Amino acid sequence: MKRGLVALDPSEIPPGELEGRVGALQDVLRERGLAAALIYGDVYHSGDLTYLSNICIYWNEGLLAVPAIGPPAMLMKLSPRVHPWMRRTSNLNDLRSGPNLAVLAGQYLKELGASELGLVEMAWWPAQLVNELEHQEGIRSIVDLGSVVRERRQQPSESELELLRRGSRLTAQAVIEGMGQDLSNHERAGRAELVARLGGAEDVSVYCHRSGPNADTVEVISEFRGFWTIAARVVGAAQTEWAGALAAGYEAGASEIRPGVTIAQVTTAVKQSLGSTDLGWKVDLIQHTDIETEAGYRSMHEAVAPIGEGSVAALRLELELPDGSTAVLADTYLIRSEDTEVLTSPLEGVVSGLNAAGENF
Amino acid sequence: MTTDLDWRLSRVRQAMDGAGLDGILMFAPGWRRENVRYLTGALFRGAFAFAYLPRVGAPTAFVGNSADARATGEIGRVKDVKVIDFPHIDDIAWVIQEHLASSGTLGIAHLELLPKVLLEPLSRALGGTRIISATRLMDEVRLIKSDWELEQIRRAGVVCSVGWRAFVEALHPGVREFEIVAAVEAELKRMGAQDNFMLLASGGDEVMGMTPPGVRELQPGDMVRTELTPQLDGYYAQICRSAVLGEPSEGQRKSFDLFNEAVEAGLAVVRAGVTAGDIARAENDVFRAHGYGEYTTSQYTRVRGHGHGLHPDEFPALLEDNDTVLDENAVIIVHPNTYTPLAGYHVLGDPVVVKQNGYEPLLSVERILFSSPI
Repeated sequence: MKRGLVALDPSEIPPGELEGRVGALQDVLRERGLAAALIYGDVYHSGDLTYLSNICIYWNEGLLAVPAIGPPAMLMKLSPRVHPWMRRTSNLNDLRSGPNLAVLAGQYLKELGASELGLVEMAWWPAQLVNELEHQEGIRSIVDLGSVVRERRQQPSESELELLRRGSRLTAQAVIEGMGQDLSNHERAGRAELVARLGGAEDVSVYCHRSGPNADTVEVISEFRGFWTIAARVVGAAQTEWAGALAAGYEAGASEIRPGVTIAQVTTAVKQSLGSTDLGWKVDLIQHTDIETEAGYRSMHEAVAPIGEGSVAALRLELELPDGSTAVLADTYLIRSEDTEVLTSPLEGVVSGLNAAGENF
Repeated sequence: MTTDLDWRLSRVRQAMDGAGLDGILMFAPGWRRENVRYLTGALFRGAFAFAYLPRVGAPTAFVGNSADARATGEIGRVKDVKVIDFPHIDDIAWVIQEHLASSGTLGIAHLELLPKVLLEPLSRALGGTRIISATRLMDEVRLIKSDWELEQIRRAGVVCSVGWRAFVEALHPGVREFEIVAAVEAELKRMGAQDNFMLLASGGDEVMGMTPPGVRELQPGDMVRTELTPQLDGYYAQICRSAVLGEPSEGQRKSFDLFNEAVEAGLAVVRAGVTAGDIARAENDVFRAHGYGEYTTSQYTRVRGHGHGLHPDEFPALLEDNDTVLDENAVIIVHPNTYTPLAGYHVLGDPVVVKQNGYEPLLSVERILFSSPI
């Protein structure tokens, strides 16, 4: 849950950066003749809202309203008592609370004189909320703006890249701390969580579990200033028969990562490498914008689309072991033609104690 | 012998009878998984999960990945587990159609949160089936806990108590708010907690409420307030406490006395058959008697407590106008948390199990104004 540090630091997000992000969406609105856009978010899925405003919906649901001209406003179910904190940690001044988001939106749009409205990623909105909005007085038409915000997030600016780098290092460090020898998986999770939270992660998911009888997986997904990264390693794998195959399969997938890479190319490479194993496996290539939901809100089209130059994405390979458990390897990459960079590089090797050739080191 | 699952299914079906439902579909988005957990017992990782229970017949679970299918299978309460490729929900529609006539009524728990991309194809596939919300129905079903559920919440209460001790140990001048959270989170995870809902606030009488942590450094004399809610094997238990760095001021002591009296007044009326409003009124009467009645309103506070279990903030809200009757084995936290000018926002509260003639406390942490040495 979002219970870690929430901060708005001008040294991290330069003045004008948030306004620039909002401005890009406003350009789209003006091009399409729309008076305003609404972006829905909840405590589990709110990356677009955070990107545009640095707001943290730490509980419940909310809408970010972006007019074609003028500053955005936040409409939420959280109490007005948190407004002062939200003003300190976001670029928002217009904050409105109430039990019904459609009514709040209706009032806001009426004040704005807006009758033509765009909903960002309308497909993922609660259907009842869309229906209620359609029946608000003065709303003439509602159009789906698709993933217009998420697509822009997938081309990070230099300052955004810096936050992704810092977040990646933190995620990697949390995995490293969780990999100590002779720890229970609860102890691994505690250590990883401590490092991530002390480093300023806002949200962290730590998955530590058995990988067969002799090994453990440590997987960390963290949010740092609104940017999500992932890393995973296996501890004690040198004692297993499958570790070499896992490492080689992962390296085969990683070798495909370059501008334009698709999940199909990565899958083919992993399949060729793991061809001789009869273990099940699953590989995924996840844009950093989809790490928050572990790709749960990604369309089929987005899942197979090429990943472009300058994107940050994660490679995750999961091996299904004979006892029903899994072993996972994952890293976060900055994809560039000249030098694809492993942002979680503080993690050495891909399997603790073993290199991709299956040799001990 | 009736199993815990039989008991749950019986409660759900009794409620379905009362509401005229022919089937119930429970929807679990990432942040509201309690109803699907109620049926399956599983902790999910995927963004979505569903569970379907027909009027007659076995339940079916629908999950988005093989890990969630394994987790559901290992618990073993629901035997029929299908992995589906969201947003394609044909399998869900087919299973429902097997049991439910097209003229039937389907209840959906968390219908209000079901995305358009999932609800519209489901509605189309189910043709003339009447679809209504079953969110409140499931809130009421989950209100009364089974013996097994109570045992899980008691275990979560133990972790909660440990978490509070870690919180107090982390309080030192110069420590930043988010570092306190880090220390508590690490301890809770080390104890096996899967999750935790936690808010805090530090400072003096200017503090109006709690939020996620910032970079503020603790100062001598600060009161640090927290509501922490670890989850163990799916079940949450909550504690509300405040601690002072150094010796508490007179205002902080008076504030504690006021809040403690309100908690005791609330707990004093807890027994099977009282309403949520009765408890809230007892708490608020204490504030009114001391001249602080205005601080019990929504301008300063949200609720005077609430239920918890598979969700950290469950039905019913303890509010004076809530006439929900609390039966034996409901789990609630009594917390009159609010702002007063005495010492700013103050939090104090204990979770309890409602019993026939009173209540069973769930925490071992004493109810005092904690003081950390400086």
